[in-house]
Amino acid sequence: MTQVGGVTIQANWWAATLESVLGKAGSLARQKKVFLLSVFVPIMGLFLIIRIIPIILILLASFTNYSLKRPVTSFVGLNNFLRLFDDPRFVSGFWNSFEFVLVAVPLEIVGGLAIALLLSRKVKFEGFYQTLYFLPYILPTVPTAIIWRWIYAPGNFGLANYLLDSAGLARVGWLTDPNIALLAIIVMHVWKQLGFFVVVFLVGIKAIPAEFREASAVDGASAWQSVRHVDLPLLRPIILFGLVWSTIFAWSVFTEVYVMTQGSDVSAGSDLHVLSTRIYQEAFMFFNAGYGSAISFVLFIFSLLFVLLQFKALGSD
Amino acid sequence: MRKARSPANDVSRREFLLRSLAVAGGAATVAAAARPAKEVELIVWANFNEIHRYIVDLAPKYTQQNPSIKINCTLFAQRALDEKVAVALPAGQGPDIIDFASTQVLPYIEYVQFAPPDAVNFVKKNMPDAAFRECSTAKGELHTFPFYVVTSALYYNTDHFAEAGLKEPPKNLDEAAEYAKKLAKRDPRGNITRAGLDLRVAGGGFGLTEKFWVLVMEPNGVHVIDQVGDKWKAGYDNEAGQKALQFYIDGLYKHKYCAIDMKHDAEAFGLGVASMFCRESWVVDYLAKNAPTLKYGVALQPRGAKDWCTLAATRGFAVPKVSKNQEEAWKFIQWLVNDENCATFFKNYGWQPWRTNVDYSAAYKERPALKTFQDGLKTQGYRLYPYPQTPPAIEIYTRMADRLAAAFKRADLADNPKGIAQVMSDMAKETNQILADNNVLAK
Repeated sequence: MTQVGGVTIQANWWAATLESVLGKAGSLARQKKVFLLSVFVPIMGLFLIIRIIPIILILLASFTNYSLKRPVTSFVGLNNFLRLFDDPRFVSGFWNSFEFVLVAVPLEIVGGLAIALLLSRKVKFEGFYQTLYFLPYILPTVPTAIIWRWIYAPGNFGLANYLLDSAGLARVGWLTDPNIALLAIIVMHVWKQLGFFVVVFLVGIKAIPAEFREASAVDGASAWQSVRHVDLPLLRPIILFGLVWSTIFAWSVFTEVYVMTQGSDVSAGSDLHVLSTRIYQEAFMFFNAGYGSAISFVLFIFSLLFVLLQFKALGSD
Repeated sequence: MRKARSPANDVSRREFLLRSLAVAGGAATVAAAARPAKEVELIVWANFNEIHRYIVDLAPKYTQQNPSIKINCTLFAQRALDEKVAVALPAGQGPDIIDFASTQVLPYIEYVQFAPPDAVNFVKKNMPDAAFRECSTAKGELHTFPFYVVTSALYYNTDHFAEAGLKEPPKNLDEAAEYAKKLAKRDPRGNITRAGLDLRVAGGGFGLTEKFWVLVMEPNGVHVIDQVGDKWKAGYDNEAGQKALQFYIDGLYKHKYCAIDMKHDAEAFGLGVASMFCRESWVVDYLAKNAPTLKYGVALQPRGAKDWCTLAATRGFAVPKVSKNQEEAWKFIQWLVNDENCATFFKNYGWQPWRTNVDYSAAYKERPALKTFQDGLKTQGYRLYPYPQTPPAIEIYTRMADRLAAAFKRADLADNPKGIAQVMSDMAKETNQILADNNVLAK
């Protein structure tokens, strides 16, 4: 009886706890909460498994000499992080990634915004333009990068140099000149991503009620003044979204750089390494997963810092 | 009433049981013999397109001869196979056969099955000693079954040679550089439109270092890494190593018979924008398919100041310990390198089998350029050397490739011995660091 009584007491405790969290049994509030939990818990669980836990594991691995080829792993403290400073390939990869972000992000945001603003006005053949600017974005990255590699082919075998030759201009080592190579890849990256940002900004612009622009026109505002004082302030959340998205894309760019630096005509070398290709090289070519994790963590921290700065600058009204 | 026992059926109960058992045992044996043999699917991971094609093409024939064995061959890109093996073997997973370079096997030696005695005897009987040496451990256990050998030779465009008044291929590196100057062509703006000697100055992975090593390091007596006892150290931070880099820099910026910004490699040779270049036998097949009208010859590698030699990197087959069909795998491997299949492989797939005691006349008749490669295995005084037999070799070559590619782009290294010495010294430090990280750095 006491035992039964003990169990009864425990069951009551659970029931009381559930009631305090979810509300009374059968109540509408409880039904709503149960529904919300049943929707969110699996998603949050998945997010935890495929996002949060890997980040924690990478952080842990970065303090070890973990190698896929070595059966024993030991703790090496901050060695992997200290080694980064003496690794010229990491340093050049970091600056290349930094340059990628500094050049690609403004080009994508300003370019995307400018095209979206132009297309938001009544334009003839709007559907045609929409196809044109969105087409590169939906093309798969690998074949696109191969085509661009052909365009940039050395000598007069590539379209770019062929056109320069035809115009009587000097040829450019698009993927071989250390001063040009990274910019050439950025151009391809921006060309590919621009359509996405045009769509994002266009949706944002079309969501702005026409009355605001009409009111500014009545007040005598020019087209530029209308953009400056009506569109841009109201687009701030969308611009922030675009900035964050573009920054993350730029820091983590891999496929374009990797594909365009394969083959006997072009060399990845240190001129063209970015952080993600360095991570690939360390972790999957040399199987130094510990050191590769340290680079990954640096990439994560810098991406996060940039995003936080953007939120700080544009996040609040 | 008991029935009377006649002599014919005069059998005791024990005898009856014994006879019944014997009959049942015999029947079971007959039934087992009549039953079809166990179905085996041999899983093969191939690394080169040609090997994949070769195995896939031959598989039906093997299955016809051995109906219980099916071959399932999958092709992986080079890096993808590296990744797959690195993850699978230590985790106790893997195929029955892996198409591998003998050097690639070294990091995984504890996970591969050494060849059985009949396979070892086959190699010793049918292939040069170099093949066995490169594929065996210090104790003489065969970790990779050698199949074909990657040797390099000099390809030269005979039309370009005739045009420049050259009759014979160059015999040594100095002559090659002189020929290259005569063969190179430029447009009115000074752009090189035809490389006299195509230098491999770009490309991801260890191939770039390999070509540099084969063309200008070993012939001049420079090794990438020197063996000291059972340890290693960088072998090129010296005057001979600096001269090797000097050869490339001179070709690019002083004599200008080659340039960074132009087509390179087999494609350039096939297009007629390179007069000479060094490559392996697969190019013969490539040219037959992509530049069938090109007139060219193939010669053994040019001599250097110290040596006349070529790399002989072995590719073959490894059988992981996790394979449940090891016996069948070894039999299939030996079948792949029988006389008929080797002849077919050389003729139709372009790579050079290690076997020298096979009649390749059909291949030579169709593609005469192939003969030079087989001659190279038998020419007196022409040394064949393997990749250094140490696990970090590929990492060392790959990291060197990055640094060499960057150095080749530096015009400021022309007539700059100090700069060249610095490049080699920095590179050697990294090589030694990799050796140290792998506990194989010699003091």
